[in-house]
Amino acid sequence: MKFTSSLLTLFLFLCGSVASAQDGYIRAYEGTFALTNARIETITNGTIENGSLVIRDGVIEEVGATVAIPGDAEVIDCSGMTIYPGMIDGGTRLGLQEIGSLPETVDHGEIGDIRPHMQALTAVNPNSVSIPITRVSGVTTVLTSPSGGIMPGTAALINLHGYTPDQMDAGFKGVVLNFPSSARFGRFDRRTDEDIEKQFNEALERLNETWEQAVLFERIDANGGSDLYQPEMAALVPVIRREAPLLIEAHAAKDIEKALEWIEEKSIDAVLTGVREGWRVADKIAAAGVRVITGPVLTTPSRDYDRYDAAYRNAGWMHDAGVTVAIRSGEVENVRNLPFNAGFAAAYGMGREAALEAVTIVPARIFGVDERLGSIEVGKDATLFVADGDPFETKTQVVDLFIGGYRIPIESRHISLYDEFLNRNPGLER
Amino acid sequence: MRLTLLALLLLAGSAAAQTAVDLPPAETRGDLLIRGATVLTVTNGTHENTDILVRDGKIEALGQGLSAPGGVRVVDGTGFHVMPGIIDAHSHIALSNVNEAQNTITSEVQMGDVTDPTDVGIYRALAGGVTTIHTLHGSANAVGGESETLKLRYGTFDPNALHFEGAPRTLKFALGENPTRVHGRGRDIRPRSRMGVEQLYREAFSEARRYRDAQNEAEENGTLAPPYSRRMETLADILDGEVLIHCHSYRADEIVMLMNVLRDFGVDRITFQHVNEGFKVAPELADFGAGASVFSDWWAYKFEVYYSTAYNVAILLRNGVRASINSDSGELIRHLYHEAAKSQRYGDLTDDEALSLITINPAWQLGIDDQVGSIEEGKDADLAIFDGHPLSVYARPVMTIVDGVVRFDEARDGDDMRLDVDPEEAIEDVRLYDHDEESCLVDAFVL
Amino acid sequence: MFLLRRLVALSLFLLIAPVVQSQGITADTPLRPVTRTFAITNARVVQSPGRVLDRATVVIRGGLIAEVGENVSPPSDADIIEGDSLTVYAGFIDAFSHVGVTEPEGEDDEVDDPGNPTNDRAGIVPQRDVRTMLNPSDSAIKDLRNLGFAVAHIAPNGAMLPGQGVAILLRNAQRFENTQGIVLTGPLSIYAQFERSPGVYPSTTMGIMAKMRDLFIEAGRRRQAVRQYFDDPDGRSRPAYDPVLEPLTRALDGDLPLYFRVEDTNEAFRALNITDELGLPLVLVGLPWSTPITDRLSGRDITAIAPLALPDTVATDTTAMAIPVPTPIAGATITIHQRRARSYRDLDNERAALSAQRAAAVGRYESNAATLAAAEIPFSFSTYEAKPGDIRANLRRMIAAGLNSDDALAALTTSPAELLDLPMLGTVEEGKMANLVVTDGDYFADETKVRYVFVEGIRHEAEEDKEIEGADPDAVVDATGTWSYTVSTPGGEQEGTFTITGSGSSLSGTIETDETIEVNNVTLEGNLLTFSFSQSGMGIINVSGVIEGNSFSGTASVGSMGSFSMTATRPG
Repeated sequence: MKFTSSLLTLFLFLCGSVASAQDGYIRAYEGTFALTNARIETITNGTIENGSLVIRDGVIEEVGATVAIPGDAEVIDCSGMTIYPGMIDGGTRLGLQEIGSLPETVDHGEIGDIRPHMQALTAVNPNSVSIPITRVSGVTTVLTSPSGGIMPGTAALINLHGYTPDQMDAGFKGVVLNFPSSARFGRFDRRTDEDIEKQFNEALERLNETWEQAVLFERIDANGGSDLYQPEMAALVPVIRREAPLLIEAHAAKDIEKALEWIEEKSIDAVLTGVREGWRVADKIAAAGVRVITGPVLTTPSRDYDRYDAAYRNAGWMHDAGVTVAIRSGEVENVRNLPFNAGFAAAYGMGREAALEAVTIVPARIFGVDERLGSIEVGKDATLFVADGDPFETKTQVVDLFIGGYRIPIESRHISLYDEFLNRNPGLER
Repeated sequence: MRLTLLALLLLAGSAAAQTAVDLPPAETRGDLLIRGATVLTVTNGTHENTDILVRDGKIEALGQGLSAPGGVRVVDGTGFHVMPGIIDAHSHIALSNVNEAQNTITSEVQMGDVTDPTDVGIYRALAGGVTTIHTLHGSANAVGGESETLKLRYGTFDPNALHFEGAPRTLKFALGENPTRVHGRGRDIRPRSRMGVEQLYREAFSEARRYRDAQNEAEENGTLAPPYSRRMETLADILDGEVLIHCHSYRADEIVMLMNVLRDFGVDRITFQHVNEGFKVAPELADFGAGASVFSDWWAYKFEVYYSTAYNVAILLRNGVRASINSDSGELIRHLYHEAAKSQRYGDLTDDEALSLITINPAWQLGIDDQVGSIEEGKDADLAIFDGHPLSVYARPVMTIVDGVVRFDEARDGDDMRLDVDPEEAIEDVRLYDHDEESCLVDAFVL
Repeated sequence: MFLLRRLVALSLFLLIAPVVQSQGITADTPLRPVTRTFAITNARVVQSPGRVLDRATVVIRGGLIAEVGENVSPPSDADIIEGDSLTVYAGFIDAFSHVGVTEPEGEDDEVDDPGNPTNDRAGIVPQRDVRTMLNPSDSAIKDLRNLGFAVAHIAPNGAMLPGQGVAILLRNAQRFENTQGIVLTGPLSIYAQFERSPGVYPSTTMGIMAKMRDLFIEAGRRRQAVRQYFDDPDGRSRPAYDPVLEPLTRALDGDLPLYFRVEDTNEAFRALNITDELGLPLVLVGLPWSTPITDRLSGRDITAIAPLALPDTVATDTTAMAIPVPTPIAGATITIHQRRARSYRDLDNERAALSAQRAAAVGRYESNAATLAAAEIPFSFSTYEAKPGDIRANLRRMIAAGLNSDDALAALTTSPAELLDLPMLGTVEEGKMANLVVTDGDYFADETKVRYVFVEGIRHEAEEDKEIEGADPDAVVDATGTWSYTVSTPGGEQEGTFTITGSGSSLSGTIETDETIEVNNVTLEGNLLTFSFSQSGMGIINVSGVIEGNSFSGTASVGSMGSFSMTATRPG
């Protein structure tokens, strides 16, 4: 499975995707597969200790303890292995940024503070080197989000395989709202309390003004529309009609409370994202019935006097309070750490089962794609992986990977560099 | 004073099980008996159901059926794992300054001058099993300042009390994008390229050699020595082998460049820090005898770390390079045990190999491996106790012991472990950290 | 609009036209005193902390205390102050401040090579003498004197080594007196702080410490080289004169102590570390909370200068419940717990605990002086960064926090006299300089007022914060808007506008004089509006007055020239 040809490595550098055997390259390929003798964690229907799973036409055709293996299937013996649905990261910028410090490679931020019509999917680079590096950890599907301003654009759920953004489209798009924030960001933020309050109020005013406009636009639109081209308003119409959720980023406890009030007032379907201080207002979030995508878990507490583990416990505490919680990494090149974020949440109070749901079926439901993703069930997309152990456990290896029925090589630039350099030739001698 | 504060806190009903000022004084060297634990010595295998007797801050005995003299606290370790206290070879916590970025060579500054023992980040690191850190100058300058090795004796206001007794002098170098960005592109002052960085070292070492020669000559002849310059003194001390270099570096070519420069000037001890492309020149690093202290998986945040691999540490170790995993971050430092475990996902290291990355190897890189870094009789009783195997994602540190003194105890963890409270600070100060990637550049752009 | 110009004219008029003045054109001009000899009779005299004469007479003559005693009769040429209800203390000494010192100018220019700036640019100017930057008309001199201060040890403003300090008398320059006439003696100190000069090396505390090492070690080497040279110049090259190293050598010799200003415990340890390492005499200035360093200071010849500034008090929430702290018992076996039950709902007491933490921190600052006294560390007080209006209240808070009032008095009188080696100051004894504070009761009591402050025999009537007629702290008014003002001076009426903007505690504004000037320290307490502004040559002009509806009525006071009635109106 691992290749050492430097030509191949060069190709991988350029493409970031992998080829298949006939012409010397390994490509992802589709077909009928039977994964046998596996332990299967279905998420929604318990665990099958020794079962099989058949993949045909991109979907799971059969799964169970006793499954007839089709004659045309490529049989993959999964003895000692466990099958999991592909993990879903509820918040990343994957594909929108290649190298953090090089603005030429960063496409998640556009100019202007109200621009919900900016489509993240448009700018996803299917050949980002980070994509194979991510999926070989078992993360198969991510929400990738625009950044900056009040309404930075529309996030997209993408599967981590495909040669065009459209091929990667996993069937969900959501307008992002960065709710006005009373928090400071990073150690260089030296704004005074007064500055922060002023900026918060200005942002809230701007948001409400925008919203009033959008509501008016929606009413005119419902009455036949006008001839003005206002894409930023049009992008908000599905949210106003409650046809799509608004993804609202809020972190500080009082900002979350304000956001909950705002959601109530505007009577919209919303998902809170980030929510680092969610535990402080967990009962209120639960009472409002607003779903949450939280993360990163592996982050420092937001207040100096917080307990050292407040960030680790946040997801579990919200879950305890009855909040629907999905977990995100908030990452770009290290989305592969999603399972570790979930693992820490599991260890610090959430428990493994809830944490596993928080990166599979829960985000699938939040994004309305649970008919296709988030669990091992007949008829769902064959987006799953095979591992030699618990996917949260640090040393676990993912040994096989399927996205939408395609068998994806366990290859990435990180792996190929390992292959090339573990025993470099020439070594010391010239 | 202490009583007054504590009394007030209690009266006011803080739910604190413990407060920071309640911790034992920094000079305390503790006595302790840990009984019946799984002991991960790192250098000498794993011992089940084993006792560790600590006297006066040192590991006195390791074995079974040990007994403690009366009055010595006994910790029931049944079902728990004990590993050596974690050592972070690259940290910028507990510092009031990071970069003296107004010059490209600042070997005269000393991080030990600006230790901030009140940083709550120290307690958070303890809560991740860390007992020793190496605080470095940032990477804005080709030659940064002298580093400081600290024991995390949290609970004191005296910065000197954290000093790691007997740790050798170490100093920060920095190659590549950071010094060329801050000085070359930021201020139009050399270096702006990796070529310039090399010549800067050659000039600085040559000047230091002349300085030392002139001093020696002056001593012999009774003439006036050159004006005192701590900058030159420290550089000359490097040439005399008295100071270990820790060099911020990423690319294979610049790593080889510095080894060549050091060879030319007769310097043979160096640890490369970050060294994301160390895997590409692992044979050369091993041949030089250089150490490598790396990130577990950071990459792609800038161009010089784009051609990186998370398998770096495994390749280095397998090629005979003494490697460690560091944090460079107030966040990662809280779970270095997890960062080390990633070397098992990315390169199949054994448990002992993975644990050595955060214990005995960084101890060696800092020149303190005779005192800490493994559980051995006679070494400092710096220990981290976990409720599972520390390389498991589900394991949690429950107790961290420095010099035999329990400085973190999950069961007594207080609500608010700050040592110092600003009487004029707003109570609700919320600060969100995204990745503090490269805390190395803190202060670098402050004018 | 012509305020400043007119005031300049006025000042000239006051200073160089005494003849015109004596003809009675300017009614407000003080008369020249008939005598410089005073006798305060039958007063309670606190000669030094703990040494009190209950009913004594103090005679002041020729700037000195001529006599003090219970059986002293006032001389016939004395102006007699009936002291039956008065208390006399030695004039206070401010052990460290910048009162009466001008800001250095033009120091932050761009430089080509920020890594190698000149010493001047880097703020390394220990040779600079604060006497060259005095401003005797600084209104702060009067503010401090009104509180009882007669002498201050002052240092230049600046960066890491701003210069040398001297003691000054807190009085205004007298007619035809050189500005340096208020200097008592000096230099007394070299001022040091962890303050960078913007845009150049050293730009950090660690850089400053490294630079100090270089400077002092080189100064020591140079001292030796200079000695050798002058002992035996034959065949030796002359060590070049170095204006920066020269005064540092005096510090190394112990002649000039380093007055090191620190802001927190970290800086205090750093100042101690660097001065111990370099063998420098240290006076530790400004540490607001000393407990962590008392061990390090005690038994050593290091004086602390405690700030008279304190943080605002914090209301504590005492409703929360006490939760016991488990303590490990020696010898007992303890179990490592699986984490105890704890929920996100633990937050109820958090806020209370935090405000208690803050209150405790304020308490630590309040008991700073008491802590120093208990640890027997010699200490004096500094007015640095203290608002004059808060100083007496802060002293009362310190006393409430455990400071003995004799120790407080010593820190204002005998201790700084000893620290600065000024034996003519600090006590009320025959032969000492006639620096006296005369009050109508115990200085540290709330209701007590300062009546007179004598500075080297010159009597100053203390101006207590005048009760401004109509001021009502509970009134709610809006000060913002543009006001048209009129100031009545002996030279005529001046007019212009001032504009106040902002809200709540963050007010700002401008005033139109010859030009538009930003005003500072704009406060509105109830209906009392105050602000100040400055312009070179004029000193600081303080405005205060009461707002009623759209009219303002108050005063504008100009340094030593006095106060003038000021009214203003705003369009309705």
